Amino acid sequence: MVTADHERVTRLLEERADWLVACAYLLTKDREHARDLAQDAMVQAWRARERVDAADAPDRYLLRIMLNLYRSELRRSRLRLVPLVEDREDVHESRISAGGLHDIEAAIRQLSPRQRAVIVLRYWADYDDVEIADVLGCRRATVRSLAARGLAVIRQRVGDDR
Amino acid sequence: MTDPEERIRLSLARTAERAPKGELDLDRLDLRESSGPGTHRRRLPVLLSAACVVVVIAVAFAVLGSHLHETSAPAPYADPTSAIPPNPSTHPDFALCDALSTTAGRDGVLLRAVTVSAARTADWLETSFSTYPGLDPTAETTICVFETDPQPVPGPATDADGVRVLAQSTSRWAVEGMGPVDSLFAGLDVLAAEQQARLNSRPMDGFFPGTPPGKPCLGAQRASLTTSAHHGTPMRLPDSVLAHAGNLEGWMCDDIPVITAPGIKITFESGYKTRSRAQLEKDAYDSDHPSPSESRWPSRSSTFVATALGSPVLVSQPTQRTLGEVMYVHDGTLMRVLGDGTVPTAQLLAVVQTSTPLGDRTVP
Repeated sequence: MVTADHERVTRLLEERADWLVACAYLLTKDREHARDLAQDAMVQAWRARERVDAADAPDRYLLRIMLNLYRSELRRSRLRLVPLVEDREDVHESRISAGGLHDIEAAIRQLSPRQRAVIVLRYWADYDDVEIADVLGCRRATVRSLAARGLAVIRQRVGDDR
Repeated sequence: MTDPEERIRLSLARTAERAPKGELDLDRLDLRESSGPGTHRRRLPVLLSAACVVVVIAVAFAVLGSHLHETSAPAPYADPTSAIPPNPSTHPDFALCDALSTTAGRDGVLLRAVTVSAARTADWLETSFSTYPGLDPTAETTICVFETDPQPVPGPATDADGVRVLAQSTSRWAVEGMGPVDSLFAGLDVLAAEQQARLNSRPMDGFFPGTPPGKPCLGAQRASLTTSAHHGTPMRLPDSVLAHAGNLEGWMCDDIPVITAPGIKITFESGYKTRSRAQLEKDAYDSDHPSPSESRWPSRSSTFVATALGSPVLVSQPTQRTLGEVMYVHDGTLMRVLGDGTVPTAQLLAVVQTSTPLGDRTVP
């Protein structure tokens, strides 16, 4: 028997699958890793579907699951290779891009995982600081501080502080 | 909104467009199967089992509590700066790494600079080049390792946050990880010792780089090994047909104690106190080393779990092109037994099965 909450969570996962992969890709910059991370998050979300369905903001709940998985991975002492420049097939496009977006992309990859998460949630997911704090499980002040430090690194890297 | 913020949005949007799309299918994830009412029926036995486990754990803690209190001591590598001394400025790669530390924005303390083949880097990372297009497995690459301030990763903060370690190899790739420094760099230390030896001597012929079973790593120091003499690393002494007190030799590969017997090498790597067997098992299964022509490390495709000394051990069977290996975790130490292709798997297992704590005895 399929209940209404199952239907809602199923729809949420279907609608948000690509969004979740994209977010994971922005955090990891690794296609395989992003796919795995999003997939694991979806499986966990399904197992906790009652809680996902009951959450005030199921999107954020989904993201929180994924970020916690990401965090667990980083803890596991497993080392992984992280590309410092974009995938080879993207290099050409990147070279011809205007406005120093390539530098910004590289700068975002230099951020700590937590700073990167704040920047991605604020400027890509369009979350406000309260929502980001909810996802990361920290205080608003911490979000502001992480964002400020992240932006400072990006500005320094792309030379906008001149 | 300021212009830089708009550019960050554009940059993120552009990157996100390159993310894989339409590849996660709910049916493929096998989610819907467990949505029936049977799910609820299955919960009761699961809950009962969990309750039993909780009771057992509680009793165990009650019984062992006082012992734990008496024996608890700071982790030997709690202070990473004491575990890994700063890289000597005379290292041939020091200048390169030093330059990278500023140009790449890696504002940490340089811990190591090691030049190794990319294939060995893959061994160290337990990864495969197929995942990383653009890495040339035949090229030499310099790995610069930086220790940065502890940087919490996304999610609620806990006391378990460790030291974040960054290594940069070439200008294209960085190695990123977090965790106990000694655990992360046990493998890198071996690479460092090999590299140092290679600078001073001719590389060994054949086999896989540097460390064939029966011989320690390149640059190894002969040492009389006792447990207490090596940072408290608990070692075990085998007494099997192929490895016994009469033919064992003790070595130090950097700070890793190694015992050799003809055709067999046994290493003892600390840092596995917080690493469960399940994780170790997952590591082993996940490993996908370079093709056999590039490496003779054990093939993970032929790995299975066996039992020795009442515990699960991971066994990799030798093939014509790859080494045999048995991994056994005891007292937070990984005992790794490597055998060349002539040593049967049963003999490798026997090395573990016949081993006893080294105690006060000494390996000559």
